[in-house]
Amino acid sequence: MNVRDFTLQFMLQMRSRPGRIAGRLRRRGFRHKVRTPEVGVVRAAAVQLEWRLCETAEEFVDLVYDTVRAAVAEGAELIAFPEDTASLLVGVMPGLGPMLRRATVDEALRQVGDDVQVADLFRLLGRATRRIYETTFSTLAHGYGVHIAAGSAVLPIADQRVLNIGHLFTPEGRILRQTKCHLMPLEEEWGLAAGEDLEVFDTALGRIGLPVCMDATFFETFRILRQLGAEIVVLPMADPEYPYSPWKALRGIWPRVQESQVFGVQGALVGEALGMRLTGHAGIYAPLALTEHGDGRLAVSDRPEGEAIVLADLDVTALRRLREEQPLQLNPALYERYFPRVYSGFWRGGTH
Amino acid sequence: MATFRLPPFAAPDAASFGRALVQAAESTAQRNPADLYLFPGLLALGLLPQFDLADPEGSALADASLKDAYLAAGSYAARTLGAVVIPGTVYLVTPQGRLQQYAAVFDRQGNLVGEQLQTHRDAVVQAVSDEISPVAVDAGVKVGLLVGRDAWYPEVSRILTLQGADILLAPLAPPAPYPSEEALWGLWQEVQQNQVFGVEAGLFGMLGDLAYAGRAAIVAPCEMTEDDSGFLPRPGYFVGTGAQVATLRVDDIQKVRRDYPLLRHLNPGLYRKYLPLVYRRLP
Repeated sequence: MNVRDFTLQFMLQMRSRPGRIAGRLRRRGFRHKVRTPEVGVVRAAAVQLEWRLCETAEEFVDLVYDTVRAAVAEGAELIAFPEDTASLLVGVMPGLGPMLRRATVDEALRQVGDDVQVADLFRLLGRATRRIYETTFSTLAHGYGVHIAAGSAVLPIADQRVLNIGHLFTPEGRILRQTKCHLMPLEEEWGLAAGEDLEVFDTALGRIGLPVCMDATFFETFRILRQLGAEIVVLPMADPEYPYSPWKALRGIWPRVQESQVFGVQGALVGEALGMRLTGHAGIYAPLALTEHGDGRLAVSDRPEGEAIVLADLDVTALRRLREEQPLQLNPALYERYFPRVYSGFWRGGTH
Repeated sequence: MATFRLPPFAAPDAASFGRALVQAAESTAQRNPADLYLFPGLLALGLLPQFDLADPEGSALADASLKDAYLAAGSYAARTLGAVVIPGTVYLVTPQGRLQQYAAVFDRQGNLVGEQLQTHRDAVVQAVSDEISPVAVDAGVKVGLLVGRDAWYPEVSRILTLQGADILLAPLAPPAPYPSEEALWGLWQEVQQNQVFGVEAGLFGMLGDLAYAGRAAIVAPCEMTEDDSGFLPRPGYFVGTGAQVATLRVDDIQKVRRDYPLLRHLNPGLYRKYLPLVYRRLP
């Protein structure tokens, strides 16, 4: 590591000291309304967050604290943030904030060097981002006694690949992670890698899956999670679709919830972010039969822009009953006959 | 392409069923002749006014002549119209007395060029197939048939698409009520996640004691319609009586796929790990 890199890393580490972050949160306190939870019912909150550049850890910490506090005040036990929540922290990179106010992330990086990829930025920022992000959310989850699906963070891993990773922080201090398995074209351009595993996590609230955004475009994700036992699927999203199209938005979490008989909780990142205009609704979804109006929606934000928190109760007991009464009639023999062939044909460069 | 929303035909025999198909098609053809006509599911059960789903063995459904009548009528209609015809669906009964749902495709000469049994069970259909393939109908165009509840199992559309289907055809007879939300997570959704065309035909009205509430629609990827709805023609699901007509150009679909190659983002490495093994689990 040369002197310049050492200096940069030193500055980043100073800006992301966990003790400072946790101390700030503790000073603000964790007072909250005590709600007696109903057995088998989970009160969920989905956050619609407007993107902004946080140039200090404190800005990020305060923003997240205020959001969590507002959701907890309404009795939320599960709070779902949007995809790329950690991207607000790119501003902690010394000198990058002012550049990003004038240019896209690609343009800003071109000023640094022609061969610099966005993934390189995330590699450089990785350690500091992880410290701020994990300390903030784990302190809040523990302090408030709630589960926080903290959206996702783009982070480097040991083998230098950069992944978009969904996170769930539990009150008892567990950090559960799920790598995004279907990347958007832009993420591929940025040099990110896709995951090849899906997991369902046993929690005090139920069995939870944590795919990320584009994963919901493909039915396979939710089907695998359902078969692995998921009851609640938390989906952080950040959709660079502007102007907002309700029809195109209908191609994500809503049909996946119907196909797989799960609850879906979607946090949405909106606003101007790194040269993109993001739109979308925070929403909480259920199978048609479990919603008052038969439309599969338990709570959806009013507008696809601006900030919001929507809340709904997920009746996991009712979901289990529905599954017993209307079981999926899958046909494994059909899938065994065709799936290996059709997917591997595609893998070898087949087209349709 | 023409698709229909129709009540059951009260046709006493194959000849009158065939003529009824042609008549329905010609009412459309006068305005806009189609290359392919898709009729609603179970339309042929009008041949059997006394059918009893609760007792298929004891009912007239057990009569193999029902399939023969369905095939004869479909062939006649295709020949007469000079078009590809899917004359809806018909129930068949296995030797064990269990119901299957069956659809057939006829070419312009009236030849049977494709057959498909429903592949996923429902409350009525208890005997299903584990084979499914698209059918080449015209100038290299391949269609895939979604029979009955198959339209709500995305595995079927994915298998058909990855085998080369350009158009998914759903000759449906959904029991009432059939709200638009349920329709949207059926064929409409399959079209979007596979970047193909989709055509839905719907039976409505009473058949015996059962009420049906089908809809008709011709659907494309959202990117191909000005209002992003994906409906061709607009504004959405047709709930009147008669036909919906639209021209589908496979070249246009190819352009959507080139502009945004959605299926290039499939993750076969992930699926290889979990599919089809995970289906043997019962969560």
